[in-house]
Amino acid sequence: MADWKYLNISRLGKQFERGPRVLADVTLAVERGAFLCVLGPSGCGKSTLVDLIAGFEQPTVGRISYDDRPIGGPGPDRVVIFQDISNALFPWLTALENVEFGLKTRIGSRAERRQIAREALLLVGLEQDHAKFPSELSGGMKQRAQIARALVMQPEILIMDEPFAALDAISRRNLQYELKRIWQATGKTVIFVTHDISEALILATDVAVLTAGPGATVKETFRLELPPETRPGDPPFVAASRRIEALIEPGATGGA
Amino acid sequence: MAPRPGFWLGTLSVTLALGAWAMASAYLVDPALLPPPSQVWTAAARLARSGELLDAARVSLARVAVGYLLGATAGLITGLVLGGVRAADLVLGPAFGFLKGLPPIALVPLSIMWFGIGETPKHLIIAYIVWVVITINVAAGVREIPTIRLRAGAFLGLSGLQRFARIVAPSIVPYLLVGMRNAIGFAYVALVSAELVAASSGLGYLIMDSRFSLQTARMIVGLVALGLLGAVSQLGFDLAVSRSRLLARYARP
Amino acid sequence: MGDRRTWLGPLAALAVIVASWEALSAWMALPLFLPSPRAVGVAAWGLLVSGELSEHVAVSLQRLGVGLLLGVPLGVLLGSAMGRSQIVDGLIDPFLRVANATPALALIPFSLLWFGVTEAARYALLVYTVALTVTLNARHGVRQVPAIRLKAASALGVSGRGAFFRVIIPSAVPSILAGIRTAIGLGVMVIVAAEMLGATSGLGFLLMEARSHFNVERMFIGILGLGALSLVLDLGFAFTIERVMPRWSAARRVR
Repeated sequence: MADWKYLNISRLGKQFERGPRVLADVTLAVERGAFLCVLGPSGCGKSTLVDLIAGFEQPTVGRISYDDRPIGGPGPDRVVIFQDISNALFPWLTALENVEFGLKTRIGSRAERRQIAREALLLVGLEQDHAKFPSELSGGMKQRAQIARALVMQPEILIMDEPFAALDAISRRNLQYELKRIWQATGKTVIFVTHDISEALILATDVAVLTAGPGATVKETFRLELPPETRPGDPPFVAASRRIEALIEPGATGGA
Repeated sequence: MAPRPGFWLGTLSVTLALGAWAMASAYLVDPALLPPPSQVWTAAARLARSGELLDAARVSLARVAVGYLLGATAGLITGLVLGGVRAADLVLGPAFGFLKGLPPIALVPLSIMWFGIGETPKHLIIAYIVWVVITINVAAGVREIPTIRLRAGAFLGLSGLQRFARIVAPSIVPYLLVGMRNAIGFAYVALVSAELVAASSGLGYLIMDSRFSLQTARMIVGLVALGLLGAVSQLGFDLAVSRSRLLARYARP
Repeated sequence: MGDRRTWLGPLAALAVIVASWEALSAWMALPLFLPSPRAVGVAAWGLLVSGELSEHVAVSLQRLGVGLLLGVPLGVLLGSAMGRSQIVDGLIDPFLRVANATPALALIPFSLLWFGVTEAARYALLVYTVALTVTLNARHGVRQVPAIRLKAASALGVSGRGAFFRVIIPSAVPSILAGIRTAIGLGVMVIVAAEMLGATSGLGFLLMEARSHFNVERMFIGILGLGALSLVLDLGFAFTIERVMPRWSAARRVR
């Protein structure tokens, strides 16, 4: 069934009580295990899309479903990694305890929880710092912790809302490659929202470009066919970058 | 480590002030109105020895303690409700804005009318102001919990009750502590209000009563004791909080 | 403040509270203990019509006004001086700390002793309380001027005394305004307390008088009136500042 897609967003629209339509007629189809980057100018409603997929908000029109099941509220099958690093983790818990947090309701044995959490921390490269509190972690480390916390839930879909936007350029680049490695190791389906084209090109298998808001819709989606080991600056990378740049409209603030 | 220059200046001015006080009392002002420091000292010693000072202090402290505990517990509960339940906030929020501006002393006569002249009206006045202060702080704390934290709780598989216990409760601890700290000062204001207007024991009463018998030195001793009691209470609280390892975790930003 | 929605909430709140009050007083059926809203309303109307209520309110307000008029400038002067000069601060700080540790109300017996049961006693205490609050805030305001602002000023050729008046004082204004706002609240408390303990007019007196005559309605009027007055003064002050000095209102929104 070549046409069957894992995650289906069909004619999605969202309008809040007080305000214009944020999203209009968004249709996306994502394969299982794909890494979809949703690109768009600031203010186009990317975060609203995140909220809808995660189940924090309900669509005004349209449907979202994955694996043929419609999406209800939030759940451990669709975990979110937020941009706001100062507030996403729980400051009174260590990195390890943060990662364990969601396991308490599922797994009774403390030893088992600890084990799973430690493995996740190892995967994201935070093994050494497991006993540190979020206030003692750098921005990049906090994001790794968030990723670990999300992964232990064994989610179907990972939703990431501009997770590296608040980091400095070097940490951002490091984490992008880290994330790619983690994705390759775990094979999760990822929806990654960003406004950074090169970030999308490093990470994505598929790209969806949104129009500018309000009433944003999907301008174009395509599969990225970059040869493996392509780095920023290589011709295929630059070509793809140009292609996307041509698609992105100026956003609410006038810049992309 | 040598003390800051401010320390020496402070000592200087305090010494000068004491000297001026002694002089004024001896030559300028009627000693009945401004007794010399020496007289205050002897009065203090006498009150201490007779146990009167300690009794008064104990009575006052007990009132504050009872009122504070009552008010803090109630405040925590209403604060959680006010901050967490939108409807409650809409309806009662303005009421608290109103209550915040109402000085506890205004309620003393009513309290006495309702509850007589025993310990209860005093406890209630103190409990009232502590309740208002802590409610406002806790409600603010609940409102300021970052939404993403609660959302994280949702997708990490926590039920509503679990979110409350494991996310809301720890998140409000810093706010609760600030409220509790502030409430101490207010509690003492309420105590004085009650003891000045209608009491027959306690430090406030000691001050008031000594005025009627023109025992100014005793008044001053009472005042100092009151100030010390309040300061010690706040210090005690700060110490307890900073020592507590349990709280150290939850007081983190 | 023109948005109708901002009034809907408090209005609804008021309605709910009055309704619950009515229900409670009807259920308790102890009019000497908890009068119904209507009884209080009728009594209030009576007091308003006879002019008594406005008289008491006016007297209390007048006292507060005088206290602020005298206390605020005093506080600003002292606080700025302390913030600016380490020497002045070192000399006066110990007294400030002690003053802060003693509840103002506890000083009422002293002011009564020294000034007798007179207006002077009330004013003295009020001015003291206001000045104390404003001093602390002014000092804080002067101290917390960001160093970078002074550097920028001196790069533009403004330093020393010029900087004090053109950079430091304006930077301290938000703090001072916050101090005045607090002082108003405290002032109300002190005035009421002073009136309760030996005046023959004012809201505080009204409360005491109501108690000695066991007049619950009057008591309620006094309490509610006092709360309302306090609220109106506080919000009125904040509102006026926003309107008159919008430059500083943004800084003051931190409450």
